[in-house]
Amino acid sequence: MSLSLSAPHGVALRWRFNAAPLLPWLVPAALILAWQIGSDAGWITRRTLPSPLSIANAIAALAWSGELFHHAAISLQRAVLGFVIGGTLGLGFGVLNGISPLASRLLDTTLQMLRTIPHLAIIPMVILWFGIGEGAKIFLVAAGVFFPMYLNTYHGVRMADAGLLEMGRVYRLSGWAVFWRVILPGAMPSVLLGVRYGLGIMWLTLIVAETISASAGIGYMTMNAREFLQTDVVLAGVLLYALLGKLSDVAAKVLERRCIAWHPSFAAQREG
Amino acid sequence: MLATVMDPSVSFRDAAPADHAVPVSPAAELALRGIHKSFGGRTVLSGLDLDIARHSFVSIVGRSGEGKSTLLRMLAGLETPDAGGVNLNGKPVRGLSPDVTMMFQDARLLPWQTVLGNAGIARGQGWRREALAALAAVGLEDRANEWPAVLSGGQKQRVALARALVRHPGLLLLDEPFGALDALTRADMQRLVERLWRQTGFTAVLVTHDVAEAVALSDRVLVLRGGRIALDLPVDLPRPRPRASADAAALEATILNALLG
Ligand SMILES: Nc1ncnc2c1ncn2[C@@H]1O[C@H](COP(=O)(O)OP(=O)(O)O)[C@@H](O)[C@H]1O
Ligand SMILES: [Mg+2]
Repeated sequence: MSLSLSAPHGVALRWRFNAAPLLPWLVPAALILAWQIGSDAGWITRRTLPSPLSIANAIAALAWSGELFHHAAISLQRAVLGFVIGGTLGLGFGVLNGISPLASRLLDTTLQMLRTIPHLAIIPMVILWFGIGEGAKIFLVAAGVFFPMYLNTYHGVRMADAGLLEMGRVYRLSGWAVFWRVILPGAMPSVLLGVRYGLGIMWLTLIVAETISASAGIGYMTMNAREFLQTDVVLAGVLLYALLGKLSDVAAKVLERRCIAWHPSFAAQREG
Repeated sequence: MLATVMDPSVSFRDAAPADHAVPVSPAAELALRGIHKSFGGRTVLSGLDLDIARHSFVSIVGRSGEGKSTLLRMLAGLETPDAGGVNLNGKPVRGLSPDVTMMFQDARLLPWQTVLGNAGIARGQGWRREALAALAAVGLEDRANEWPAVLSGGQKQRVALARALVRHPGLLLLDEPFGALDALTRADMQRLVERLWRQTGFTAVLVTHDVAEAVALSDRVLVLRGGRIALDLPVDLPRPRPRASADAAALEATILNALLG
């Protein structure tokens, strides 16, 4: 869409300006502006909601003191460790149960039963087992990530195309080659779906776990700020979580593009 | 686009047997004796005997569900007979032979491998060179680095054909490989397969529901009915074969009668 503004006689002032990319930002910008005005006028109290400018100041101060990066780095480290552990286990069990009927009969029912337990419900147990150290948070993230990875990998491997598998037999591919060249790439879209679900659960779990018990991390930073009624720092933490969530979403999309570039929805773009 | 589909080298007029695009393989011969096969009490093949000579082009026609695919899959070693035996080059067939390859109605390309990666699926020594040569033989060397998703149906089948050629098969089995293609593409594919068959000298067994296709391509047409060969008709027409000749029409009528019988 393009917006064209021209002077009545269309001679002196005539400029065309492409508003399309800016359009989605119009409403958020207006809201933030209204919020700032509301705070300045005293309609919104600082206790309820600090003004956008004071949040920006808080972020700048936290960044300046290095506190921001310290807590963000700790949260990120927990997230990555938990994701790698839970994701690898989910992928491994998904593949194992997907290709081995024996393993599937032995393990799938058990895993499906465990899946029905909300992993956040066992926080008290986890604290008993691991104390409030790093182990508890990493365990909770891993447990949360495990199930979407397991379920989607299992499904993807099980859904391997029978025609392609038969083609693999005709061409006498080894079991190894069938796995790497036929089964796993075919399961990839499903695995990546698991990755995206897993990333969502990863942040959610971490926010809850860090809020309940931690001595560092974004969640700790916000809980600590709450005690001193530093609502601007609390909101800075919220924004930081949002930013990290967005970052992992972008990472997942990049991964998707690299792993399933062959997919008809991407492959056709190379032509055009 | 049209240039690749209507590749001039794919005309059978210039298919001089001396012009080898792909290395020659020793053609295979087949002997089937007393083949029985049933699925869950339903007999599909009953007491079938069949000999197929080296370097012949044999077509199998029959109504849907008569067991054409089952027979072909048995030749490939994908099915085992309940009774009777299949001999390939004088040796009983057990499982899949490196000498035999098969084309299906759908191309069965790996979507996540390039055209080249699909043609060289078995990744033997020097597979890139071999796969490129085979792609050249089917007129697709310039598409080697593309994804299968961007190819047309006919081009996909040509990649499947190139993949088969890389194996230097002694026996090429074709299970209605042109069934899903439009008439023009189909005619191109028929000529291509005939040319490659003449150049490389494999034995070909084609299952088709198209009687005209069977007569146009093969030395011999078999009608499968009631689990046996109901008609075994030699096609003694000189190659290259003109389209829609009176001789061909007469043979087609005979086959149709046996099919409908
Ligand atoms: N794996 C199988 N299990 C059960 N029945 C089968 C199987 N394969 C083929 N059949 C049956 O055998 C019969 C012949 O099938 P098929 O060889 O595919 O016929 P055609 O290729 O001539 O159409 C059909 O009735 C089909 O349902
Ligand atoms: Mg069939």
